[in-house]
Amino acid sequence: MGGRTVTKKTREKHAMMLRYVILTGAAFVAVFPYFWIFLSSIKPPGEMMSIPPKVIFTPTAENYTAILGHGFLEALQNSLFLSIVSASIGVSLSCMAAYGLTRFKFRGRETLSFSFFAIRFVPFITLLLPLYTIMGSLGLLNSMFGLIVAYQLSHIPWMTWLMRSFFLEIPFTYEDAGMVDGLTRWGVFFRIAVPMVAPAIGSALLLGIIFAWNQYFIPLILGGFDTSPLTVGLYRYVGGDESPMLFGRLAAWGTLTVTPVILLSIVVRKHLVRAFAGSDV
Amino acid sequence: MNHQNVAKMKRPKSNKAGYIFIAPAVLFFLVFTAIPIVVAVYLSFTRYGVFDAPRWIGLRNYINIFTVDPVFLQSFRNVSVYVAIVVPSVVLISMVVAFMLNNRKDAKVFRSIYYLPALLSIIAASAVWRFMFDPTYGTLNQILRLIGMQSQNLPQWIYHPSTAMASIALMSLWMILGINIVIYSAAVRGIPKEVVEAAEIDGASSMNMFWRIIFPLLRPTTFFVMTMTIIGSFQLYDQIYALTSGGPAGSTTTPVFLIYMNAFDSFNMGYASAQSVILFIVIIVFTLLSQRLTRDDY
Repeated sequence: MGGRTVTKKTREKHAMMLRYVILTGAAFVAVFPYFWIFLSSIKPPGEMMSIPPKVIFTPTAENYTAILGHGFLEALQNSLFLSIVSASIGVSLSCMAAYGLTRFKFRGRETLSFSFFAIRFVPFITLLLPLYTIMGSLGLLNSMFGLIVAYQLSHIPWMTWLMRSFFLEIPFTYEDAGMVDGLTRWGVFFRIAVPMVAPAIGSALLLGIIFAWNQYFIPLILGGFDTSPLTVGLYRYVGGDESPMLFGRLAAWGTLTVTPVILLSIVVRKHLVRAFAGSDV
Repeated sequence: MNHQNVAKMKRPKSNKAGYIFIAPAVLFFLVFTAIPIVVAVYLSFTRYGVFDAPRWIGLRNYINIFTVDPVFLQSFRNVSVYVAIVVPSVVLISMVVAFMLNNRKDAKVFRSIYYLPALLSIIAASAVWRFMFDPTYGTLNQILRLIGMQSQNLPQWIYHPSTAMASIALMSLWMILGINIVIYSAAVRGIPKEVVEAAEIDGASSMNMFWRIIFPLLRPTTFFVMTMTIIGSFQLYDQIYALTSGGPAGSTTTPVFLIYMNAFDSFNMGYASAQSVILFIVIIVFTLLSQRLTRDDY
């Protein structure tokens, strides 16, 4: 009897260790490409393509200094502007829309609410082709303004759906009290409702910045050379020929493109699933 | 749901401020969904080359798509190869990992590492993966060489028609597994403790527990994950654009990539619009069908 428990215990121990190894291995696979791109960005060009790959080398910053003169700063500026401005506008509009969808009764409310969830099923390309035509005739192609408007296509649906779920959670009683105290609808919105969902607004804003930062389909199609964000600039390297020297630059560009996202993602961890899955699964 | 009942009783029936709050939402749908869809349908009946005005040609585009031009149907076949690899892998791997993470103190750390790839720019990820797939210098083949695979047997990854789509699927798995692990984790946590405890008392092994109890109980989540993954697959584009440009030999040409090329490379806007309308209809039909199925499930 005693012997059996011991074997069972060791078996459990083995199983636990195996689990740990698998989970850690998976974590390694998930982050490996970042380590790798970072390492490549500080490798001297001559050692890039060696077999087996060199693990020990003298780091160099020459790839980073090289991309500075090649449009990196302009692209960085575009990325910052596009992501911060578009996400701020998106969050403001979505907040209003979500508040309207949860606090007012009108015909077709449920349909309209659901549409914000359902729009993710519409293929992006089906909307982008006509938008290209429409924006072209309005003279909005290759402009920052046009891009920020178009970015709302990717922001507003999930942001509204996310904010809606938060507004549904906060009780109406506070707002009713505010109304009784003589606040207008706008007063109630700005002074009571918005502060109560402030953390959610913060997450939506940061997530919006991340998604806009990664966006490249919209600026690729609707933008031009002067409006290119980091992602489009990066593609020029990816698509270009792969001489070892250019690969180092690509890696440097890539490292600087993904690092801000990794930092931001730590902040928004909590609300990610809601935004991705469309509900609090 | 309770809130909505409260809303029905207490909300003022009509309120002018309400319309202002709703306005952005409605405007959004007009500008970004309703109008573009109407324009897309209109363009699909025309010959339109961006530089000259659209010319009405009736059903010509649609007829050509199904009779003259085999590429569009081929692109759906390519996607089905991708779906056949990605969907079962996503379901199985995310579910197993979520099961393994359950009740661990370090689960949060693992999960936040796992979903990192999904947050990264696909272009940046493609840059890395292009290098990993390189037959000579690439990390994957270096590993295979290290474990003793002969040079002539090494796969060509994205550079050969027989493996290109599978390689793309591999990269997609790397990107989307994390978020699905998080979704499954939440579902696993929702399984009543008594059920698991009862099974433990009955002496069920981990394997048994997983296949007999966890797997069936997670059916709604599995359905959700499958549906979302398949719909995502229909829209597969980014990695194709960055890694293979639809090749080699058209093996990774997906519907969206094809539409993109027709519109912005060959400037066949009308033809591309017709294809995008068909894609839209395919996705709607698929979504409605899957909803019907879930309803039967309960």
